[in-house]
Amino acid sequence: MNYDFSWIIVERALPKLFDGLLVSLQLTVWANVIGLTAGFLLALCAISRFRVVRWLAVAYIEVFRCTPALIQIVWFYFCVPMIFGVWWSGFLMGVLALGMNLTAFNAEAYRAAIQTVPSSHLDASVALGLGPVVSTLLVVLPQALIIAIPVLMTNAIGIFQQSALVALISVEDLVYQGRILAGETYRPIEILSTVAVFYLAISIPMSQLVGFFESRVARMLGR
Amino acid sequence: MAFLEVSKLSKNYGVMPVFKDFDLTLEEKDRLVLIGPSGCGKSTFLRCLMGLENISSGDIRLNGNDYISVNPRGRMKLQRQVQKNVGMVFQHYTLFPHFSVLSNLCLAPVYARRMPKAEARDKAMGLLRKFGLAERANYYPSQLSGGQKQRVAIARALMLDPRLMLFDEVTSALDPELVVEVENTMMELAESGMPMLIVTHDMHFARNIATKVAFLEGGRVVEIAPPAELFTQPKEARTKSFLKNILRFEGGDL
Repeated sequence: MNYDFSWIIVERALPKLFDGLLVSLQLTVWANVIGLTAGFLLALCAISRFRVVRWLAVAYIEVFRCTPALIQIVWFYFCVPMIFGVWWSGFLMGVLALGMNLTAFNAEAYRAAIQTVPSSHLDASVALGLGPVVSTLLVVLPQALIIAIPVLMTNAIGIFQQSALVALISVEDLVYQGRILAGETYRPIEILSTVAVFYLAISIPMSQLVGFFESRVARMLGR
Repeated sequence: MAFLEVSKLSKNYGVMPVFKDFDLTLEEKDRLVLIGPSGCGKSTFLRCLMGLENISSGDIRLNGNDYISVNPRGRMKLQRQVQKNVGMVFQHYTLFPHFSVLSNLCLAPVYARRMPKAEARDKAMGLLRKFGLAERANYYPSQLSGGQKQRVAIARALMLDPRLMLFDEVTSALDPELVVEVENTMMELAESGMPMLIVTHDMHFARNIATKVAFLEGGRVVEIAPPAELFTQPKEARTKSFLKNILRFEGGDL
């Protein structure tokens, strides 16, 4: 193939792509704000003593884990306004859909981490006379959070990739800008490759960081 | 009045009885070592004393006070106040990995006993100094050897001034080299007069530290006697065959 890769196209596209990247990052950050907090609460529900609470939590988790994120986003954008009569921007709908999706995955991460804390630590807490509240707050949850960090970060990277789907509900994220520019310039190779490089540039350092944290966690917990 | 009195203790795992009418009496000067084949209920017995297991009937008294008992409706009653007089050390250290050695020691006094932090800290440093671990105070458990971890665990239990210490196979997870340092710490504690209940597979250590040795099988005490007696002239045939097997395995007599 004899293609003349035009760097000038890439250069001219950069400002718009950076605007798009900013939107993608904002989506990711807000989705994580929702996912990290609501996911934690949902995990507590999923291991609750009350059966009904547990069932509801598990049902939520399964619905969001077992349907495509694409459907969730599109459904939010088109169906929520019709059902609930609210007219929110695509960005807000995107954040909500991504956040609720991440909530399900993070809840699983938290739940697994809580259950990884050895039961012998609970025995030791009882032997030391620590009450259930103190041992939950000071013994179990801190260990669980440390164990969960690498998985939560992996999920955060995942939701950054998934955020590309909001281009479909006309949120002006990185992919949206890329597709517009590719159409305007008739230069999809330059533009879409640059978009891919943008995603890589964010995700690769993040996943390196996950590896770093994984080894730190393993060392700290003596495993 | 006996220091520790266990009477008619019964416990089941499902339909499987672990203990049936288990009786045991201990004087304040006693250090009792429990030996017996695995599954005989040694560890479960310690866990019952610590209130970690539910019991189906019977009661456990410390200094004559009802400490763990079962009411007529079959509900277990556990008096925290008395339970707080018992300390326990486990096989797998169970130090909290996200706290430093010093924080591991201070956690229970500060959060369970409302001891002022500075006081807890001083007390912890005093214990660590005594154990030769003072310079490890700010280390994390993962930075310690198994022997050091287990000695920190002992110090952590001692922070609450227990009147009875329970040791559940505390040297079983250790390299042979490190066993000695933990056993020496326990010997020192014994010499200071601490009543102890110890589950171990180390018969030499049992003989050195115990004032009484109990051989358990099938959830009951087969034989209980001072170590010199039990190890050299066991009365029961089952004790004899158990000791014979164990000592042959260890390659020597006591």
